[in-house]
Amino acid sequence: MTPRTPGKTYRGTNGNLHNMIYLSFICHLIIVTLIFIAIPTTSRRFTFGPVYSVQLVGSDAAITHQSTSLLKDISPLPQTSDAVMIKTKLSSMDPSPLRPQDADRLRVESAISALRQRDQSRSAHQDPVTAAGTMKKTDAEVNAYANEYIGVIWSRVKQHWSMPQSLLPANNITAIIDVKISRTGALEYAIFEKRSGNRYFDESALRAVQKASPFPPLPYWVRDDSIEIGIRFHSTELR
Amino acid sequence: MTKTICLLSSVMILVFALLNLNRNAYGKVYVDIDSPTFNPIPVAISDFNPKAGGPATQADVSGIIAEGVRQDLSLTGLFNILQKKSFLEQNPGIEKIRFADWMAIGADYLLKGEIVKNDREVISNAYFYEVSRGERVFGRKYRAGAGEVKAISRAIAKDIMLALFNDAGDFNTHIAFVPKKGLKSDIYSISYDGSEIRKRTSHQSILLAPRWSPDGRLLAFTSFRRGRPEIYIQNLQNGLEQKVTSFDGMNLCGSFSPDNRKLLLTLSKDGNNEIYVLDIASLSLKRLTNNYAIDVSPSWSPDGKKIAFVSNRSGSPQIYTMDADGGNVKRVTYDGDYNSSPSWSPRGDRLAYEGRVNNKYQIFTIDPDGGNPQQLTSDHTDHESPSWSPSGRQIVYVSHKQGKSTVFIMNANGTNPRQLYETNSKVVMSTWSPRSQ
Repeated sequence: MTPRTPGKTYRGTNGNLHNMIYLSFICHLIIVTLIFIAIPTTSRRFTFGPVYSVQLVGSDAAITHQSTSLLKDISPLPQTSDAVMIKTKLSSMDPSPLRPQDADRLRVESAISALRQRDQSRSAHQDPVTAAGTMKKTDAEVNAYANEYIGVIWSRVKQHWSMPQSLLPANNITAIIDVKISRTGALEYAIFEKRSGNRYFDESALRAVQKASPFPPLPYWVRDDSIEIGIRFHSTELR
Repeated sequence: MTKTICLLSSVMILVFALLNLNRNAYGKVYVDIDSPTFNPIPVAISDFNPKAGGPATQADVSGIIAEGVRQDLSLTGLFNILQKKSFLEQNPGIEKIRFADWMAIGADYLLKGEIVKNDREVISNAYFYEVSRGERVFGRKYRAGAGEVKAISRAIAKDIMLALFNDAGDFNTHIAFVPKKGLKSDIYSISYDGSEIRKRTSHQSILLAPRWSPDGRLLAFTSFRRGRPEIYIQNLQNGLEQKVTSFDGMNLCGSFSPDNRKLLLTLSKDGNNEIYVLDIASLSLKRLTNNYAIDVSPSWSPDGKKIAFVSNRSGSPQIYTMDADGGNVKRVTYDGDYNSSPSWSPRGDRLAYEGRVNNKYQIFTIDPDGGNPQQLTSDHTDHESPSWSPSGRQIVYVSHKQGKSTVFIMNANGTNPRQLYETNSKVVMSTWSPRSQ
């Protein structure tokens, strides 16, 4: 390529003109791709995605969907009735929330449902979250299950989160912790995406996650080996 | 040409890489958790391990240090000190700690330590752990004279506060107060843990308004020793006293400036009560308020820029703030018909004061601009003289009931009042000291 010197005009040589065309093409390409990337990223960043975003702060918001009538029969989830139930029923540190009495009840009910539909019987021995899983799911159903599993995570972490009242500032502060949960329910990591600036507040939030682990195993419909959740801790009530 | 192709392809790779990252970001879910439950921090303090080979007396000292830390931490109102008998792990050593056992009894933090004592001194290693992660927060060596085991406990408690909250706590502080015995009283001080009471003056007269300088070296007060109010400053290191003002009429102490060089005063030498500032080295005086109304009880803000005071210029005593040169006066309190004794929080964000509600004085706090007033005491007795701890986490005040006076310490939000001292004589003017060096 011809070196550009102060004596020559850009129009003077073909080589320079080509260079400029290529350069301009690359520049445009970069700008256009950056715009394509940047717009969806920023909007998702600030709205946190309409598809999966979960707001679980109210009493009736915790678990919403019972996707099929069959599901009701074979896996009466203890946590599906209301949010207060969630807090009490899921208090055990046991990674599998299935309890002996529940298991007994499930076995009877599963026998009944087995008569209705043979291939469903084995699901009664699975974790309640993953139960009733052999059916084909619509997106809405998968979302409902996602909410269910995340509701379990939410209630376990919330339960373990406490700090002295006098340490809280008058205004709201927020810390975000990224949590990665492996297929077995083990906590792979918990790291700060954003710190609040209040040392003990951050520490208490991280400890709540650690105390809440291990979590229940991932539901079968999660294809990945792990899931990542961002937990936003707010010092005041979200109302 | 090849260069451009290279460039082009690298741009494409970059674009694909970014798109890929983006796709992963789709999978992330955000969950909101609000308002934690309010509980003090559960902490287990294990008796310190006497190091092998030492004399038998070590065993008692090991218990004393741990017990000292337990007491000091419980005074902060922030900790729930777990009962020793609930401990599953009895092994006093610091190797192979079974954190699961500590988690099972609900401990968030664990303190363990070793101790060696000889005739002259006590040496102790203390280790502080975060239980859920099994992580050591700090490990440190402490050394003190044989008779000063308490100093080690306080130093450990202070380090725990620093590690968790980045603030040294209020251990090693004192509260000055004046128990009135007729016309003969003196200033006393009591340590934060209530263990030590000291007489600070021997005037045997009416004494008012003890004020500590922020560096802890001076104590200013008003004394009627010679039949009328005069202001004295005592050097706390050598006990020497200097009379600094003796004007006609009222001479009343306000607070020291944050740089320890000036003292706010209320004097009535020019007619009614007005606020002045005294330069301690030169004893030169400057008038700050000039008003037909009464202006009293000045308190400096921790940054030295503002002064809170009481004035009845609106008809009833209310709290006001002004700039340090006396300008820019703003009214702070509007509720109630009697608000007085402002004290500026060491963090600068709140004022504590006493306000009259249903004929009883109660302790309040309020933002310096008048926002968010909060009533902290509410029982049917008089509560007076609020003063902040150096950390700004607690407030000391005096409460009067049926001829008795009680000095209380409560959290800055009004919770957890703790009785520090009680007497049959009337106690006035409690003031919290800075941390002693």
